[in-house]
Amino acid sequence: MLAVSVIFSFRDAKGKESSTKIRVPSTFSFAQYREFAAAGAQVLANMSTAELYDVSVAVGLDLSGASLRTLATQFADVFQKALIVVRSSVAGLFSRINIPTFDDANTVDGSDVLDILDPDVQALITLLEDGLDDGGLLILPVDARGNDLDEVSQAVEKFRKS
Amino acid sequence: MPPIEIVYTIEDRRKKTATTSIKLAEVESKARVNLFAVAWANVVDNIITGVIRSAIAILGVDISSLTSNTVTNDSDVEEIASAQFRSDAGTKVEVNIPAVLETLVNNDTGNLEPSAPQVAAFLAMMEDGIAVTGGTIIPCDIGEEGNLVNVYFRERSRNSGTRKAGG
Repeated sequence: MLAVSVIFSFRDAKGKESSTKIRVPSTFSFAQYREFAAAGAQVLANMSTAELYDVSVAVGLDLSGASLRTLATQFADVFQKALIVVRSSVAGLFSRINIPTFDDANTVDGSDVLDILDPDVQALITLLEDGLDDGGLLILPVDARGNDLDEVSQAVEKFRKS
Repeated sequence: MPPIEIVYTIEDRRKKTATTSIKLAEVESKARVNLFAVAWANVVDNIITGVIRSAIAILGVDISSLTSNTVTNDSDVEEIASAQFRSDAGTKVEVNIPAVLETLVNNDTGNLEPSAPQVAAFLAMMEDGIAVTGGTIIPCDIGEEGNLVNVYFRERSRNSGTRKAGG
């Protein structure tokens, strides 16, 4: 596993932005990384005349437990995407998810709408709406404000730049 | 604090890459985030033609309690303190601190003054780490080799990492 990156972002008097990174071992918990990052932020803020406006931690995840294809098909194109819009549990809020290299075999014939009767599409929507059961405790996808995602309102194929 | 964001990189037949992401509650643990990341990768893989190359979790950090975090009129992110360290494996580790406070620089040598408390605190963080609940996190190189030793720490004027015009 590669080291975890703690990223500190600064903004100066002219509005220019710059970031710096400190790498740390991958064996710690999320809470421990946040503690390190907050304390490190103070150390850096004490040395800089710019404003430290954002701190984040990038942790590599282990996908070895997934069954993933290892070769792209001859039709794979990152511009071809599935756009999925999901309503959150708070009225008026929603989340957009773009999935590159979407396989249009998963659309309704003669349409750009994802086929919700297709088992693969169904599985994705179910995980998005209902979450993952981890020993009786659900892991639920959320919107940018942390509200649970409730219901897919739109799922279509789009061609967009990456 | 913002939610945890899982960002996947997907590669197409021309080796072009694009990302897709999904968010989970900020309180989720590393194990549960990884569990969900694997499940989501599986369902995404079934509806795409490209290859999922990697996944990372992006954690937000609360910095609302920072002190001495105000921008001064002469602040410029191109004026940096450049620190280089070497790990046990001999790998270079560089950290550039944007808009370095000039009073920390020795005017004769251009080096950061190690006797300044702020400089000493930075070097201690990089070489000895920071105590956190249940342990100490000590910085390392990209391959997780630690025991960083400072090679130099001096003022420079150049791009510090990712820089862009602000709005």
